[in-house]
Amino acid sequence: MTDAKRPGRLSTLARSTIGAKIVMAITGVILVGFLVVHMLGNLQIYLGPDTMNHYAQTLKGTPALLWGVRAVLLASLVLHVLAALRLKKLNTAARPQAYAVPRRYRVTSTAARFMLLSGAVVLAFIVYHLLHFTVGVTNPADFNLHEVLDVATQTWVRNDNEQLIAKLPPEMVRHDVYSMFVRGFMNPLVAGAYIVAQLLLAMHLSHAVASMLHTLGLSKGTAARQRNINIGRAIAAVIVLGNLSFPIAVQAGLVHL
Amino acid sequence: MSKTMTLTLQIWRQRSANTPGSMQTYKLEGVNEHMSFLEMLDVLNTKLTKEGQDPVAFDHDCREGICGSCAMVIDGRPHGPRKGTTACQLHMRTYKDGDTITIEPWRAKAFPVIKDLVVDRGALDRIVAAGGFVSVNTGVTVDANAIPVGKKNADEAMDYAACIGCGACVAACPNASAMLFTGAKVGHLVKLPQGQVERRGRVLRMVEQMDREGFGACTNHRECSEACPKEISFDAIELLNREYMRAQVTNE
Repeated sequence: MTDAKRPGRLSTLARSTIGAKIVMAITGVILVGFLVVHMLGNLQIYLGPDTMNHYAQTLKGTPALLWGVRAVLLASLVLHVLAALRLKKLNTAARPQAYAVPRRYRVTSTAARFMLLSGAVVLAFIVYHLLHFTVGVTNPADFNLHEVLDVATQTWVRNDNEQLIAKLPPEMVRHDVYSMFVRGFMNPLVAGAYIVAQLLLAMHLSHAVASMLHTLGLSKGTAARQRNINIGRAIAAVIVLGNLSFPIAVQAGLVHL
Repeated sequence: MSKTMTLTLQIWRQRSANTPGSMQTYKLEGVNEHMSFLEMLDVLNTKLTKEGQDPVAFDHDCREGICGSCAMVIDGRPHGPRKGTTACQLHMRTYKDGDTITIEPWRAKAFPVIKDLVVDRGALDRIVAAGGFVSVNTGVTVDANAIPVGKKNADEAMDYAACIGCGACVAACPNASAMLFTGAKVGHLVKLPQGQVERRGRVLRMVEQMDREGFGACTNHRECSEACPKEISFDAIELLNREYMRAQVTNE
């Protein structure tokens, strides 16, 4: 074997199945990293309106960072979905005739076998979630809530006077994210939809995190692999339990207006 | 005294690659518990031949678990229910009188059925031909141990080299992926000094061939290593991923 005809680099990466898997894994790491930060950020709802709204104000106050992160997340999500669809197509084509007798699996999980399904539900949820809380088209009445800085006391006070808000300088007005959040989850249907979506996310992540560690080749030996599987499930549990607490806390009245 | 049993066998019968197949039911009496699974099929075939029927075609050669020929999915599991055991080393004492056993071929686009349980596994040979070897000059035989190999590397290389190329990993994989096989072939050479010279080109070419043959991609179900009669570790796949990434970023 001479190495005169070495396969090209990026061309093989783009075409190969392992290349697509690496794309899945790296974009997965980015998306899971975001989920952790997103969940931790939202935990501030338990610290009250001022903390939560100040956090939101800080994020919006650094547009370069905000839009930079959003661009990376969008690119990751698109690549993740495209790679998943490509691999699914290849994997389906790899076994055109199914087994006559269903195989008896030994170690795989339901979560691992239905990744595309749970992923599709999570994707639909992401679209709804962005329309709900980022763009504000599904519940506009809950979305355009503001706080105004009371100069005398240096405290932020809820104000629904849109004409006043339009006239004030931007540093005197901030979004009342806390109220938007609480009002959003006061509707039992909305809270229920979020809970269902989080359960599907839990299913997805319970295989996804371990899977990306395997694809990046991070475990040598069975013990190390089992540890990575456990780490993956722990990360999935932390993210989802944190997220599940929000609609439940609002529905239970622990977090209120 | 050895016990005998009566079994109901449901076996995939397919006359040729281009004719559709189906599961056929056979009743087989007088199966000795000490027979191997293949000997039980021999008894069935003798019976079918005497009755003027076409015997069931199945691959077999060494019948001692090292050639990798006997390829069949038994009751939904490649090589049957016992871990680390090829179909030829599976014995009928695993079964009880009155059991029903289903037998069908490996199912993968890359493994077209030739007849009944026999599939063409040439795809695996072509993956090896794409780079699963070391190029050496012919001539005088080199002295044994002329090239020192560390104990750990030698052990790992031997573990990967235990692969008999039977294709059970592909049959067990929900995606019909051949990554455990390819990983074992890449792994046993990458652990040895002789494998270093062609390290980068080897993994790129073997993966390219693997994809070209129409195998699926690994989604980390880990069914392959559980089904492997030689118990090749799932490490082979993680190693293949690492070697592939390394090949993308180095010039060596």
